[in-house]
Parts: sequence; structure tokens; C-alpha cells
Amino acid sequence: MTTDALWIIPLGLAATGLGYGIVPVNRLGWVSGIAGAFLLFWLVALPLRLWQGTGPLTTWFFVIVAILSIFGIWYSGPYITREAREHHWSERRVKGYYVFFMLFIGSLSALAIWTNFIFLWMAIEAATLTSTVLTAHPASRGAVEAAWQYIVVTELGGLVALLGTLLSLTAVGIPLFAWSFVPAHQTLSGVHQHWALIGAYMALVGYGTKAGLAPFHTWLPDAHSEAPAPVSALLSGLKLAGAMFIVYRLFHVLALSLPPAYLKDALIVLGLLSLVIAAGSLAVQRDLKRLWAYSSIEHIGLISLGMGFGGIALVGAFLHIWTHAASKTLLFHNAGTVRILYHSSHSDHGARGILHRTPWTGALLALGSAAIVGLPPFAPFWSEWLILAGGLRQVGDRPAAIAAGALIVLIFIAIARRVPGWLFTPGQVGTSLPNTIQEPLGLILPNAVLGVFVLGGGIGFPLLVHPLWHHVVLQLVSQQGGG
Amino acid sequence: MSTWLLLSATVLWVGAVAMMIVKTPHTMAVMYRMQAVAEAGVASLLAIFGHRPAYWSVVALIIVLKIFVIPGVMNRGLKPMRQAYGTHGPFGMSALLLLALLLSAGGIVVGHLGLPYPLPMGLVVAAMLVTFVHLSGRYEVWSLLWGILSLETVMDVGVLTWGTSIPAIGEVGIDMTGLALALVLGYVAAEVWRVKHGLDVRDREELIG
Repeated sequence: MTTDALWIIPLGLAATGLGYGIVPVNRLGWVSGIAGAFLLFWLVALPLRLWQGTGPLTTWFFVIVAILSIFGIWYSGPYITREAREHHWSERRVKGYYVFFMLFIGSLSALAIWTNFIFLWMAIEAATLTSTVLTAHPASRGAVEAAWQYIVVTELGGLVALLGTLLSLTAVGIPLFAWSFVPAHQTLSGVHQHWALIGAYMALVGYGTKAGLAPFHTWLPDAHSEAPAPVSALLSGLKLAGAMFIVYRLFHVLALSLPPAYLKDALIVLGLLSLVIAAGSLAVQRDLKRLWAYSSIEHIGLISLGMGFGGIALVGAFLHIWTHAASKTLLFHNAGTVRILYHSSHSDHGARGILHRTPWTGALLALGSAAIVGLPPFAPFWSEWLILAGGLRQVGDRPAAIAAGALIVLIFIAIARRVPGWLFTPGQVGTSLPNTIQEPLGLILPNAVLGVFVLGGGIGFPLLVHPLWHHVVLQLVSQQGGG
Repeated sequence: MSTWLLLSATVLWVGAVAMMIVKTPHTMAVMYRMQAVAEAGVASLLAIFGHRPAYWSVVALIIVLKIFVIPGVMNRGLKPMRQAYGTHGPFGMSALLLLALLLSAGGIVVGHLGLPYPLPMGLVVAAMLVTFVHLSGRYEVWSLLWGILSLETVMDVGVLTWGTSIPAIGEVGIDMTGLALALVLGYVAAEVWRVKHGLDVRDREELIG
């Protein structure tokens, strides 16, 4: 069943996507229900042992992909209905959104559960190409330009990653098809070891571009701010982390043949640089979606740091994949709601006083913001703490961990200064407040449920899925030789 | 085998240099087809000398996709851009060409750092570097589009020559991904034309990140 599931899940999601194309537009909700039920089935089947992933790490990432994709499908219904009505989308455009959204989710699930590096490259390419179409979907000038920049920059990265992966694996003699229906083949002989390192760095640059690691992040703020909100959420929470997951798996394989310090140091340098870029940019953002886009660069930097530090920081990095994804999905969905209700997510263009005018939306923005900056007891606090503690434990990594801690404080200050600009309306005491805005239940309910996840389930999630998390930690520790 | 490999790599490099300096989208398609012939040539070398008959399916796929399907779809999709004529670069085309030739020399030197076929593999590196110069120096939508497709072909030849252990099924997957890339690039390029009524992508409003 496990081997079949590797194909059934992505292809089933893709087939569901094509289903959107053939049903009438007033029946799209039914197809969404089927898609959600399909993902839920594979989630429930895990504890029932009807299938198992190819390892605890892949299963962990699949669980995150499935849960947040269900929320994405749920939120897409009311969001796209409002968006289509407001911008006069044709039926074809509405259906097109759902088709590509499901293909995007299918590619993300493949990214989680496949293990062969060539297939993983194809999965992340599929995720990039489908999300490019989705980014251009609003058809505004900004969206099309963002999509163009996105595809040009990330495809350069993707092609470099392909060659780097092949080069490094071939140079160290790893069979390219260790699993699959094709048996392992001979490897290229006569290749010097330094080509393996060059290939590893090429792969890091390539997948780092896909992950939005600085300095390869230039596509990210534009694409995240222009794409429809459910797409931005999955891009930020899952696709970026998926690219880092490939890097981790590749480096884990290569570390058997290459000096691990070379690989880890590269991850630490790019992670720190991402924090620097985020700290410098967050303080001046006035668009909510761009704010969270730069925040994504910060959190991918933290995941990169955790993978670079190793030890307990690596456990923190894998926990952070969940904590960041859940909080950021809430925040991007919330930003989408703000954009619909206020016709802008820019604080200078009317998106102000949100807490008073739309209390539910404002409360969820406050909740998500408190979580994403790493305030205790929200889950990102614990995962960030593990990453920093892991860095501080090792003498060689201590300066980088201290620098990262200082940058996190700067980022906290930047977000804490900016978010009140959306939440409150500045003015003299006694002046009349603007009218409240009706909040549609359809837009609020998915985010409210996700808010409960972030609030209570954040730190409780590893406990809820304790057997799986236990295996994840065991695998991470064993991969580092008990360290 | 090495002579044929050298010939294929040379055609690939010449195609990359030509794509950097040509003035019309139509010529881009011709150069792209030339590079596709070189890629099919490398795949057929693997089929013949590597005793891997499954690679004939890869050769057939490359010919169908890169000589007929992709240029055909692009030429049809980019019809409005046919009026485009000219080459523009930030420092002039002669400076770009000089830089490309210098990097090509560097690529050939890199090929001698322990790769099995130094000159052909060095030329593949050179073609890769020239395409990077192309993508950095040109800014017309059609030129960037063909530049990325050219890079995909160059990287695929790199995969074939450096990672010869790749099974044919993997190579088929990479080529199919290349087709999807071409279709999405064509779609976004057409959208750029629709919203901007122009080909220059330097004045993007969004590029403030």
C-alpha cells in the first residue's frame, strides 16, 4: 500500500483538480469536499496503519501538507467566490484557479512523500510552474509582473539545482534511482571529489532560490503579495519548506562522503543572511502580505540555521516547519480577508483600525502576529528556542547563534512596530471611529478554526501525534550518530 | 565517441552565443532547434556507445518536443511579438559578447579540472555561463523566454554528460518538465504582452522587493 500511495496521493489530487474543470461552477464546492475528504482519508489512514510514508520525516511533512492544504481548499471557497464577484472573473477563470490549485497541492504532497532526488526535482518544478500560473491568475499588471519575475528567477535556480544534484550524487557514487522501478545503475567514474562539493553548492543555490533564502529571495515578496491568499499561504508554509527539506535530504546523503562542516557552514551563512535581509526589510513594510512575505524569508532562514547547527537545533528546524506553516497560513488567509473587506491590505490605503471595524479579523491578525514573532507560549517560540539552543550548545556555532538571536529580537521589534498600524486607527481621543464592516462567516470560520490550531494545537501538536513525532526525533538523532 | 561529443558540445555553445546576440524571436527558435539537435546527438551517443537502447526513446522525445512541439507552440503564442527587432543590453552587445567569450574560456578551463571529457564538458560549462550572461544582459520578454529554454537544454546536456548513470525514465521526466516549463513561460509571456503592450520588462512596478 505504501508504494501505491506514493503515486495514488499526488495523482488522485491532480485528478480531483481536473474534476473542477468538468463540473458546473455551482458544483465546485462538491469537488472541494471530495478533495478535502481525499486528503483526510490519507491522514486518518496513517494512525490506522493502512499506509505508511517512506520514513518518519516524510510522513511528518506529509501530515503538515495535508492539514494545511485542507484549510487552503476550505478557505479558497469563500475567498475565490468574493474575489471572482469583485473582479468579474469568468467561470473559466474560476475553474482554472481550482484546477491549478489542486495540481499545486498534488505536487506539494509529492514533494513530501517521494524520496528519489530526480522525482523530487520534478515535484518542486511542478509546484513552481503551477504556482506561477496561480500567481498570474488575478491578471492584474502587478500579478503578471510578479509571476514573470517568479518564474525567471526560480527556474534559473531549478535548473542549477538539477545539475548540482546530479553532479554531486554521481561524483560520490550514489545511485540515482535507489528506489523505484528502475534498479541502481553504474556511476560515472573518474570524477574528482571536489565536483561533489561544487554540485552540492549548486544544489543549495538552486533549491535555496526555490526556498527564498537570501540572497536568492528577490522573487518572493512580489509573488507572495500578488498571488491569491490561499496560494500565498501554501507557497510560504509548504513550498519554501519543501525546498529546504530536499536540501536537508541531499546534504544528509552527501555528508557520508563530504566534510559535513562545508555543507553545514553554507546553510548557516545563508540562514543568517536571510535573517539580515528580513530584519532590514520588515521595518518599512506597509502592505500586510509583503510584511508576511519578508517574515517568510526570516523563518526559512531559521530553518536553514537549524539544519546547519544540527543536534537539537535540527529537531527545532523540523518542528519549526510545522509551527511556521500553521501560523503563516493563518496570517496569509487573514491578509486575504483584509484585502477583500478593505479592498487593500496596505495600511496607507484604508486597511486600518481592523480590530475595531472587523473584530474577528483583527483578533486573528493579533493572534497570528503574536505567534509568528515567537512570543511564548505559542509554538514558534519553542521551535526557535530549540534552534538557538542547538547553536549555543556548540562552541563553533555560538557566534552565529548569538547573531541570530539578536536579529530575531530586531525582527520582533520591526513586526511589533508595524502591526499596530493595521490593528488600530491613530487619531485624537474622542474623534469618531470609522464604521464597522460586516465579516462574512465563510471567510472567518476557516481562519478561526486555524486560529484554534495555532493557539492550542501549536505546542500540543507534537503531543497529539506523539508516536509520529517520537519517530521523527529518533530518526533525526540517529542520522547524526546519536548527536 | 569523443569526436561526436565534441561536435555536439560545440553546436550547443555556438547556439548559446548566437541566442545571446540574435535580433528576432524567429531566429531564436532556429537556434533552439540547433541546440536540440545537439542534445539529441548526446543522447544517441549514450544509446550507441553506452549500450543503453532505452535512450533511443529519449532521442525521439527530444526531437518531437524540442524541434517540433515547443518551437511551434512558442512561434504561435508569441506571434504578436514578431514585430520585435533589435538587441539591447545594459553595456551594449559588444561588451556582452566579450564577457561571454571570456567566461567561455573560463568554462573550458573548468572542464580540465578532472572531468572525463575535458573539452566537450568544458564547452557545456561555457554554454551554461554564456546563457547566464544572456539572461542577465537581455531584458526583452521573448529573449529571456528563449534564454531559459536554452538553459534547460544546456543543463539537460550537462545531466546527460556528467550524470551518465541517469536512467532513461528520469531523462524522459526531465524533458516532460521542460515542456511544462515552455508552456507556462509562453503563457506568462503572453500575459506580460497583454498587460504591458510591450516587451521591455525593466520597468516592472512590482520590483521593489
